[in-house]
Amino acid sequence: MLSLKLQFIRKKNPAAILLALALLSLVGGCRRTDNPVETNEQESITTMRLTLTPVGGGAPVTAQWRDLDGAGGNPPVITPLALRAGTTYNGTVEVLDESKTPAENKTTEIREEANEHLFVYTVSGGAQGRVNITVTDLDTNTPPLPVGLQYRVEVTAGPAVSGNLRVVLYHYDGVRKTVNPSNEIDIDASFPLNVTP
Amino acid sequence: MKRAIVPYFFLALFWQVAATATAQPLYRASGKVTDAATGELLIGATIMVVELGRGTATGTDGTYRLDNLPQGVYQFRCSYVGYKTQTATLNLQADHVQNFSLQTLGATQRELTVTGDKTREVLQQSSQSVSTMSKSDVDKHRGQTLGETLRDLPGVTVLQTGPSISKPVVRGLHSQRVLILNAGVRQEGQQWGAEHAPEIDPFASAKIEVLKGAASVDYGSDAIGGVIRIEPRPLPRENAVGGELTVNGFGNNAQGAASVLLEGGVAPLEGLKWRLQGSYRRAGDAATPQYFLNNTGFSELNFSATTALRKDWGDLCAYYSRFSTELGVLRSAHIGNLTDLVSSMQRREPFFTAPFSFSIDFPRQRISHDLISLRARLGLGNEHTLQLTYGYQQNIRQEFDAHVPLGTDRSRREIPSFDLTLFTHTAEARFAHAPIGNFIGTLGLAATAQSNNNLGRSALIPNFTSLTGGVFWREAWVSEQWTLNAGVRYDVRVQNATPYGSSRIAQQLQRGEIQSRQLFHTVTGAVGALFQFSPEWSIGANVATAWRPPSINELYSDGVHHGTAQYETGNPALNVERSFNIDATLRHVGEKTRLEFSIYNNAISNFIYLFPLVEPQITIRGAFPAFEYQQANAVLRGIDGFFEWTVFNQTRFFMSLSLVRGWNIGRGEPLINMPSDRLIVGVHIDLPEAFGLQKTYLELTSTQVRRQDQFPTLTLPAQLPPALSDPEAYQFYVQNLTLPPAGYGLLGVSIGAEFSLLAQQATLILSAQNLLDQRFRDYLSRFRFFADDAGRNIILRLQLAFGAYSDD
Repeated sequence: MLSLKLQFIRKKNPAAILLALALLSLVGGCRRTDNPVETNEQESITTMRLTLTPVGGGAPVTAQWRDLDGAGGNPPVITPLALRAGTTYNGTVEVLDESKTPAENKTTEIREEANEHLFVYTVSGGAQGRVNITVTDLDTNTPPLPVGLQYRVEVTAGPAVSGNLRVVLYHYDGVRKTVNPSNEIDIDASFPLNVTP
Repeated sequence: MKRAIVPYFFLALFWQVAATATAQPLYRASGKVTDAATGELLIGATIMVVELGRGTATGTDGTYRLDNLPQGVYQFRCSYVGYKTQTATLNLQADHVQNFSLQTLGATQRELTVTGDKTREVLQQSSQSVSTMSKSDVDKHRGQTLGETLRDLPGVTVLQTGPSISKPVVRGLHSQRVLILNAGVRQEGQQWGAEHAPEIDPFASAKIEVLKGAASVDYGSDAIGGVIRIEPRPLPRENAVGGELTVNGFGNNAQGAASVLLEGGVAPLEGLKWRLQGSYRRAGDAATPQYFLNNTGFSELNFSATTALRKDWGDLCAYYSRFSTELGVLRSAHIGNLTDLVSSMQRREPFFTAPFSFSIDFPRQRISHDLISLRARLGLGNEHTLQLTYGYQQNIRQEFDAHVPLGTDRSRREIPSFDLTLFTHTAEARFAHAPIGNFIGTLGLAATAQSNNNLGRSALIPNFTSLTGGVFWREAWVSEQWTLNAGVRYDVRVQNATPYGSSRIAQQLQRGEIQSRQLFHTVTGAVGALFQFSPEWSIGANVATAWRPPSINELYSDGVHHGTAQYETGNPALNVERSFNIDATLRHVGEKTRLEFSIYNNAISNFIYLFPLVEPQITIRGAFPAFEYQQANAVLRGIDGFFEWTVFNQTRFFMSLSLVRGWNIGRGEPLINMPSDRLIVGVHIDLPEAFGLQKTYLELTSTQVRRQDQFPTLTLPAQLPPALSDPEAYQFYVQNLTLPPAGYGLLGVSIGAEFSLLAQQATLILSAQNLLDQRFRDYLSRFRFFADDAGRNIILRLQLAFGAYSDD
C-alpha cells in the first residue's frame, strides 16, 4: 500500500504528493486508536508496611501508611510506630498495591531492581538520637551498596519521646546508584513515632 | 469555457458591424482598477458601460480596455466583489483613460470613509485597540515563537515555560482567554495548559493583528482578553514563480532555522494561484549566563500549502498547514515532591547542570497540529457579499514523563503519560449587506464541533465532545468623522464528558455523581464609537461583553500535572465566565509623531483561576503542591500604548508601555500571576547607503520590567497538615510560593540592511537580545523556581527573495 503510494508520488506532480501526504497523515491518525494502555499508573502504590521484630524475641510491631483511593480523595490512613526504649528490632518493609484484587506485592519488584533502589530512613523530632536505623542488606553492585529492604532499629533506653520516621525510596533511573538522593522518588512517606519506656 | 466566449464574440462582431454601419468615429476607453487602501491592482474587476450594456473585466495586470465606443456621454460602472461599486461619467470625445480606485467592503467598520489615505486608515481602524505587525515587523522576529514575536507590542507580555514554550498574554489574560485566529479559523489545541504553546509556524505568518479587549460579538467565546489574528501573506498577482528563503541562526541555544516559500500562478487557469511553504527549526539547550538549561532543545517541522481562485464572482481559498514539534522540558523542573521543589527554590543553580547538548530527553512533549481552512467570498449582486469559512483541525499532544511508577519497565516512558487528540470542526457564514444609507453591517452564523480523546498512561482531563453554535449581528453607521457600531450575539454550547482513567473525578463521573453533560448559553453585546476630531487625531471608545464556558480542565482535571509536580483539581460546579470591558483609545498620526494610548477596565464575573492551596496533596510519593480551580469576581485595569517620535530625519525614538492591575474582588487581594509592569524604550537610526547596502538601520532597545508588587500571599495554618513528611519544607513553600522575583532590565541591539545578491533582493539582520547577559527570572516564567531565564542571544537572519517575488 505504502510502496504503491510512493511510486505514485515519484511519477506525479506536487499536487499529487500533497494529496498523498494528506492521505498518509489521515492513515497515521487512524492507527492511533488501537493502542489501549493501562491508565493511572501513578497511583499504583497504595500501602507501605513496616514490620519490626524485637531481636530478643516478642511480638512484632507494625506501622502502616495506606491510601486505598490513591492521590486525592480520602487522605491516607497512617498507623504510628510504637517502639520500646532499650530495644533493638530487625525491620522489614513491604510495599503493596491494594487497589488491585488480589493485592500486588511491589516489594518483589524492588528486590529484583535492588541495584537501582535505595530506602532511606530518617528519624526527626524528639526521637532523633534515641532511635537509630541502619540498613543491613546490600545489592550486587560493585562495590555493594545498601538497599534498605532490611534494617536494624536500635532504641536507646530513656524516657518517653515522640517524633517522626520518614521513609524515602529513591530510584536511580538511568543513572548510577549512589548513597546520595536521586531525583526520582518512588516513595516519600512519614510515620508518627512513639517511644515508651 | 469555450462556449462562454462565443456570445461575446458575436456581440463584439455585432458592435463592429453596427459601428461600421453608422460610420461614427470610435474611441477607446482604458484604465486600471486598484484597491484604494493598498494600491493593489484588482484582477477581474468588471467595468460596465451602463448605456450600452457592454462591459469587460480587468486582466491579470489590473487594466481594462474597451474599444470601438461611439462618441457620447456614458456612465462607467466599476464593480468588484468585496468592494464598493464606483461610477464615473465620461464624455467620450477622444480616447480616454479612466482609472478606478475601489474601496473595500470588508468586515471592519472603515469601508465608507477610507479614501486611500493611510493616516485616516490608522486613525479610523477600530473603536477598539489594535496592534498590527506588518510583514517587515514579523520578519525581525522570524524563527521565534508567537509569544516572543508579540512580546514588544503594547499590552502584550509572555507566559514562558522555558525557552521552547511561550504563550502570549494580552492585557493580563492568556490561554483560553485569548483567541487565536489562524488563516480565519479559531485555533483549537489544548490551549488551557499554561505550558501548551500555540501551534503556529513562526514563518508562515505575514501579518499579525492583536485586537485587545473583549470581542465575543465577532468571535464568540474565549475572546475575553483579546484576539490574535494571524494571516499568511496574500497570494501573488502574477503567474510567474517566485519565492523566498529565510535562514536564521541563534547563538544562545545553537538554534538553526530555515524556511522556504514558493508561489506562483497557473497560467491556463486565470486567477488560480498557489503557494508552498515549509520550515524547520532545531535547537539545543538554551544558556543562562551561568549554566545551560538542560533538556530545553526542540525540533520543529512545519509545512503549509495554499491555493486560491479569484474570479469576478468572488474568490475561493484553500489552506492546509501542519505543525509538528518535539520539545524538551527543563530537566531540573522535573521534581518529585514539595521537598524537591523547596530545595530547588532555595538553590541558586538548578539540580542538574550539564554541558550543552542537542538531545531531547524526558520529560518532553510531542505535538502535531493539522489545519485545513476553506474560505469563500462570494458577491451576491447589489453589493451584498457572503463569506464562508470551514476549518478542520487535528491536534495531537503527547507528554512524556521522566517518572515511571515503581516496578514498571523504563521502556514505558516511551508511552506518553498524557496523550490527547482533539478534533475540531468550525464553520462560519458572514453575510455583509450592501450599505443602506450610512449603515453597513454583517449577519453571521458560527458553529464548532469538538471531540477529545485520551490515549495516555494517565489522564488529567476526561474525553469529551462539545457542540457550540452562535448567531450574531453587527451594524455600523459611518460618516466622514464618526463611526458608531453596535452588535449582539447569542451562543450556546453543549458539552459531554466521559471519564478516562481512575482519578477521583473520573470515578465520580463514572458513577454519575457529577454532571457529565453541561449546557452553557449566553448573550453578548458591544457598542463602540470612533471620532476623528482632527486630521491627525482620533478617539475611540468601546463597551463590550465576552464570555467563555469553563474549560474541560477547569471542570474535571484531577491529577499531577506532568513536569511541574502540581496536583490540580477541577471544580465541576463552575459557572460561565463573563467579561464587561470598557476601553478608550486615543490615536494620533502626525508628520513626525505617532501615538496610540489605551485605558481599560475589564470587569470579569466568575473569573476562573488556578490557586495554590495551603493544604498540600499527600501521596505515597510525598506532599505535592496542590492547586484548585476557584471562581470569583475580578477586575483588570490597565493602560498600554506606544509613542514614536522622529526627532531628526534619520532618528526615531519609540516607547511602548504595558501596565495591568488585577484585583480578586472575591478574596479581596491582587490576582495571582498578573504580568509585571513593562516599559520598552528605543531608538531607531537609519544609516546612509554605503557599499551597496540600502535601508541600513541600527536599533537599540531597552526593556525595563518592574518587580510585581501586586500578589496574593498564603498564610501558614495554625496547625500543620497531618502526615507531612517534611514540615520545614512545607513552611518554606507556603511562605514563598507566591512571591514574585526581582525586576530586571534588558538591552537589545539590532542592525539590518538590504542589499542585492545575485540580482535579487536580500535582507540581513544581526541582533542581540539580553546583550549584557543579565541574570533574571520573570514572574510569568513557569520555571522561576528552578532556573534563570535565557542569557545573551545573538541572532543572524538572512532573507533572500528569488524569482518573481515582491516583498510588500
